[in-house]
Amino acid sequence: MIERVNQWDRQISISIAMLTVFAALLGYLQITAGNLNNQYRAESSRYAVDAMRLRSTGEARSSFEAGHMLRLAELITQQRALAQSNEDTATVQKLDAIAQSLKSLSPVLNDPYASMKDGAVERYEVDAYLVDAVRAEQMRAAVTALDQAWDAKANTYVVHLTLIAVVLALLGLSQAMANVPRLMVLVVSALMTLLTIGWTASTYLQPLPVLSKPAIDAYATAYGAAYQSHREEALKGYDEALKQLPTYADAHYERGMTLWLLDSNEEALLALSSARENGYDAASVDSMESYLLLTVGRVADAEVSAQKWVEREPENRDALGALLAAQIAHDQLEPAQATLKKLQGSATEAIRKQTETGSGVDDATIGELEMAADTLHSVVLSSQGDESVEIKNVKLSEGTVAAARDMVRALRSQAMRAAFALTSEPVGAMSEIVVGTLDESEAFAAMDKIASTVQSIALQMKTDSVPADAHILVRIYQDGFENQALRYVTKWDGEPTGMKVLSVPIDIGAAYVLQTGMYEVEMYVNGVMQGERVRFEVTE
Amino acid sequence: MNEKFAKIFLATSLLLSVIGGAFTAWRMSVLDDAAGDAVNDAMHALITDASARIRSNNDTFERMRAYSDYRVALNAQEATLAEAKASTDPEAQQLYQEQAAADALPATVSKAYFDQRYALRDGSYNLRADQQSSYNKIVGRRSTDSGAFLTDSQESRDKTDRMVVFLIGYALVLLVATLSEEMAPVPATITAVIGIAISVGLIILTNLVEAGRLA
Repeated sequence: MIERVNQWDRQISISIAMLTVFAALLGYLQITAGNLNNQYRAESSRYAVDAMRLRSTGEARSSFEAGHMLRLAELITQQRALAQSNEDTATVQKLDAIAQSLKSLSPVLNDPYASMKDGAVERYEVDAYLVDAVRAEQMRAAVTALDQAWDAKANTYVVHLTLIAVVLALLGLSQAMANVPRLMVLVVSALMTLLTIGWTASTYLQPLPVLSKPAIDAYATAYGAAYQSHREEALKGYDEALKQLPTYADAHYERGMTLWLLDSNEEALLALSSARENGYDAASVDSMESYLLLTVGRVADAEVSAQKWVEREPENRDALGALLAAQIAHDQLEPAQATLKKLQGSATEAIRKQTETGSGVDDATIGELEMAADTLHSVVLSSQGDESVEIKNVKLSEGTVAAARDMVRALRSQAMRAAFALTSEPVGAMSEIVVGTLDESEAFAAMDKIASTVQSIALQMKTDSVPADAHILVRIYQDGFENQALRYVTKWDGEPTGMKVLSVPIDIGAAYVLQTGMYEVEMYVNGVMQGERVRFEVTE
Repeated sequence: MNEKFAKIFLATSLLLSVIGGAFTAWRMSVLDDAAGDAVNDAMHALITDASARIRSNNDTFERMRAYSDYRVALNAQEATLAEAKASTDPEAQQLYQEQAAADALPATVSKAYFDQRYALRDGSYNLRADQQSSYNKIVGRRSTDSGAFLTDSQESRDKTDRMVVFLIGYALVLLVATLSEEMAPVPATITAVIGIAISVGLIILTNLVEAGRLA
């Protein structure tokens, strides 16, 4: 019996010694991983500071070159042209001398930038700092991934070391035990050892993120091309980056954005999906994906994607706006009404808080409401077969169209009441709005085409109980976007009820002419949108 | 050589491997601390360098802006004076002189906003020299050589990487000594002596690696 116990003790001593060797091996792995973790962490910080420095110095330099030198050169060119048209040779010569002297002060006034018709500033920015800054930012991201991977390994090895220390303690204790308790402790120790060995092997074999400098170089160059709107070239660059490193999530994402700008929305969606699969799982992907899915008519998928975005950022009003548009496009009126309520409630709360601080309502909050209204408006237009909007193939029931129009009005009214800090009761109504002009005898003539040189347009409408001094706002949209320079605000000075004509001045500056194209006009009484947008065309 | 003698050697071998392991681990911890400090210094140097570059860059372009205004005014004045010289009409000459004085006015204002040392004879501006001077003033005596600190840190890490292998050596000595207890006195003593030699060797190697004599 004593002999057998001695035999057990001997086996335990040998096990302790063997586990000590294993612990030393684990220590080696832990220290190696820890050292690499520290090394990559230092590199990551270095790249982060480098990227910040490159951007900051580059932007200051570009601001000087583009904001000062180019403006100065442009001014001199214009003065020279004027002098030349006046046949003032002396001034022309003087300005030529000045222009010549400026050339030695700025690279943007020399070739290749000086001979470029468009995009000289962008090209200069790309050459001066943008590609380098993007490269440093991408290196930081790649090195940070390595830093985190080694950090995880080092931390896991510490857990393994702790487990082995526990096993060593148990084995030590077992030498003071006998019979069943000793057996139990030995079994537990054996199981823990096996678990630790298996776990260590799995940690050691775990793959690490790949850092590919050629891929990052190709990405940075492509980014520079995209910045200059050279989209085909950018696409080739992103393809090259992905050839070097197929799991490069940022390249998939930027490729998706470029494809969208090239109107290849289906391909853009595939690229975004690849970005997500490779770890670019961010709100920006949800946002783009939900919008692109709407543009290709996959309304159910768009709703799922927008829902995902809302789940990720429940308080984000842009996300709620995207979900609202997707739900309406999917003809899901009831959930859309709930989303609208949440969106408006969140905006009301934000506006209240901003008003309380005394700094006024944040433009961003107004922009979020406007953006939601714009997207919803595009959904409605798409359902009516309007080819000018990017969202396609939406089919809505009449009830949903009417409800969506009310939602657009509600969102725009909330935005404008906040923008103009209107607290007065939203009373009075206008309908049957018609665009036209006034002739010399001030008589209204309805027109759907207006000359670009007009000094004012006229709006005829039917009014109902519009109080005196009511806040009247007219907003004019060009190609779907409001031209804020044309925004017109006045006080109502007409009769409360009846057919009225309102003259909206266009003469916002000397020599100003309207650009030709499709326009729309929108009216508000006390911040509440009235009726529908009315279209008109501006011609030469 | 009896069993008792062999056991003393084995005990000494075990003891030395444990003491040697503890010594190497201690020196590794000291080196690790030094590596951490060096990284910290490197980050300070990096931030000092970056902020000095940003500030000197911004300052220099402010001065460059003033210099470009100065050049424009000066050129305008020079051109007007050339016209005055070319003119034969005294009245016109007088008008040109007045115009030249007016042209030069912005130059007198701008002149105060840049350092004339960096204005070159050919009309260009020595941007690099101005930036460097501004950078030097901002940095002062602080170190900006993050690379040197990072190299120090890396060297310390390389040393700990080497030393951790020694820990495996000590553990192996421990294992072999434990297994040798079953052996006959002579082979056990020989094993124990080898173990003692290895442990002593590893302690010496630890010192050599730390002193940087063993690359």
